[in-house]
Amino acid sequence: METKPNLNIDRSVGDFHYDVDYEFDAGIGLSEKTIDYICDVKKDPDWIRAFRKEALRKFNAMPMPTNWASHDLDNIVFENIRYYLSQGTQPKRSWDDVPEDVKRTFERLGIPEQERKFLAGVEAQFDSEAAYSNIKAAVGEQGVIFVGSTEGLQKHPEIFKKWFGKVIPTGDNKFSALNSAVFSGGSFIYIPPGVKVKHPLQAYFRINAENFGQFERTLIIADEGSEVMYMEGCTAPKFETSTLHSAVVELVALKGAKIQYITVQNWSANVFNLVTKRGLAHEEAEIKWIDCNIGSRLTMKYPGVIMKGRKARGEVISIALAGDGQHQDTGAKMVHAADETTSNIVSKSISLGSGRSTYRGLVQIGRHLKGCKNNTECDALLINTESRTDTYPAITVRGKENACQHEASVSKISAEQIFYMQQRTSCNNSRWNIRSSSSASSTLRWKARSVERSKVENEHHTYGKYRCGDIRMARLVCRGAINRLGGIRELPHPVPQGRILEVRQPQGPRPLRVRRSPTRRQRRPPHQRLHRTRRVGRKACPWQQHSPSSRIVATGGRHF
Amino acid sequence: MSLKIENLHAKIVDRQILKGLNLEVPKGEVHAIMGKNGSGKSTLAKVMAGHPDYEVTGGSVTLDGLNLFEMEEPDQRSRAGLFVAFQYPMEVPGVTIANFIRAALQARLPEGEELDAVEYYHHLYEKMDLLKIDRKFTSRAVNEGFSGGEKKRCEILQMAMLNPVYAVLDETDSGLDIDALRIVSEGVNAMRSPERGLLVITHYQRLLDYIVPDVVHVMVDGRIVMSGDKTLAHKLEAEGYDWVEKEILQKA
Repeated sequence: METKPNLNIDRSVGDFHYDVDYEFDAGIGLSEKTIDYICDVKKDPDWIRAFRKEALRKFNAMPMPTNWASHDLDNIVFENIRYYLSQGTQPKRSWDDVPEDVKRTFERLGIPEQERKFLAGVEAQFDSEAAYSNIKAAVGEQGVIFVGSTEGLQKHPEIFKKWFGKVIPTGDNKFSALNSAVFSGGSFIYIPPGVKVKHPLQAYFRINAENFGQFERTLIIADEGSEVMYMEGCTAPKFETSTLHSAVVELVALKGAKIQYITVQNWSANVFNLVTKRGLAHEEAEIKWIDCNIGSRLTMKYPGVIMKGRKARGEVISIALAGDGQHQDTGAKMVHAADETTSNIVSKSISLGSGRSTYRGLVQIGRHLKGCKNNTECDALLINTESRTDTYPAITVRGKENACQHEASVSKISAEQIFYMQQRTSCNNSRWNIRSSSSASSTLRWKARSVERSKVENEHHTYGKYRCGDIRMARLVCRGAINRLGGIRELPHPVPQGRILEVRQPQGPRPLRVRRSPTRRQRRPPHQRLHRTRRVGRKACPWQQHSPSSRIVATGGRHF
Repeated sequence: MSLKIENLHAKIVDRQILKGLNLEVPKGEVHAIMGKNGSGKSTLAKVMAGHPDYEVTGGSVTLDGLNLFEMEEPDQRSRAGLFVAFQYPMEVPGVTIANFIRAALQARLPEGEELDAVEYYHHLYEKMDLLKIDRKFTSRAVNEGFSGGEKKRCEILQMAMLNPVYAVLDETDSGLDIDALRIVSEGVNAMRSPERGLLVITHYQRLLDYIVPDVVHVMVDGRIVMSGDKTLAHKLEAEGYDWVEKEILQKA
């Protein structure tokens, strides 16, 4: 291992790095040998070895999804990554036993302290393996299992094997295949029937090494009528070279169970964060993802819920902050597979500097279903000139008596506006509700102070870009934005399948104006008249509420 | 007790705009700054408010002895008691006037204290009536789609609600018709008090017929070159700014 100065401290809390001696290192690059090495070190059973190798084949066979995703993905060099680094596969039960060099990292991040204060259990992963894992005795006595995935596989194979890889198949996407091939670490949680874990379980993921890929695998099973809240946090030091984090998280909520999964991701700006997260909700179960993305260079993450049982509920709350050089490509997937299922998506993003945020949403309600509901709210705030936001909703609603609602808004804010508001009030301790005038229910809360002045300097004009996969959807989505930004133009080509809209702000330093509640009778400019949405069902509000006979199918290219 | 500006130098990018400006506005007085386009009047207002585009290259501004430039953020200065009514108030889509002012007032309260909503609205409506602003405006976004006159009235409303110790009004008369000018001036006059200093920046003497200043300053090329009582404004109106420049030349 190359020597580095003992301590690299930059401005962010997580940006420090200690030298650590690794006992096991799978070396650089990925091949069957790497997988054999990992299996040997971890003493994996044969079926896992076969599973990993099959996954590697799939990974190699699949192309990079750059036909729809960011081309920045091409900058990941899989041959230069180290796939397994650890100091031993058995996590410690007490902080005293954790090796000194690892312990001081977590102490600096305040993990042991938080555990004492309010957590029911903690797992701390350092590079490939969990260094520490413990739950409070009272929780353990109820039969709750909270261990690392390695330990879960070895000690509870009967539960593990039943659900492992069932929610997210190996070949779901290229990165789930990669994770399946080299997974290590992550949490395995089982909550017995009827047990309600009062305090949250927490996992903390830390990347310490350079040129490293972290591939944790988390599996949470909440048995009938149980409840659990799981939180994860992530940090890494900032290296010159890129680091890869590619996790797979599977949740299973059996009848009447509730799982709440909270992520606060603050990877440093050199980390590619490509994560697949999905939950399976059985009858009357509820799965809720709260996904907060602040860090990383490129995040691609679309937590999903498959509502398999009657009256299952799914919810995704996604918050993204894209600063300079960051791309937060986030969203949600809601697959309704049973009657009377309900889902809710709330996505809020802020783009500032040259940051870019993207929302991709998939909502599927099949033809045979009835009484399903989906609500999607999607708000973006553009801070100043170079930032960008895109929205790609793909909504398929068929069948009878299903309702789907999609609201979106884009707001833009300039340095001058911030200055103006600051002259009157402290933006520090007062939180604003920015209510988009196009959709009363969308509320953006933001803190103006978090906008660094240096990032919002140049005041020359560029565009707030707003794109959408399908023109009809675009009408749904962009209604506010069109009025706001004043122009709409169809582009000839770029994105595969489905047309693209680009809504541009008129040139010149004119402040944005919003026309209030335009009626459909109002005369529209010719270029908009061409693409009128088909009139559907009830007259009242065709954009938002689709009556039984109507359906909206967005063919917005291949998402995910 | 005064708003004191000493030897203030400021520039934007590479252009020096304020070149050693001296001015003192004691509490209880109304001072006016007149000057032609490009003399640096608006720059003075923005520099005091802490606009990020301007760089202070020398001098100081103190509010009752409190150094303004030690406060980096505009909101700190605002809470210290400085209010600047802008020549071109920004539109803030999505934030209603009622919420905006409320947040500003809330920010001035010590931590843990909540603004009384009923009392707040009572107070707000009272000031709106005074400025003849329709009560429906409370639920409209700040300055969004407002006419020039509405924007200026909204600025004065904010000033009245925030109750600053010192206020700078930057060309509050521009874009106002006669009636609006009278209403805005009445609003400003209602704010005159021994506890407050006002600095009114304007091109025209017309505004000063309504808001009668104690002292009139004339600004040329980033400096105050002449001060006098309100008759100076009349003289300027009659003879033009060239007259000032000639006067200076003669003195020199």
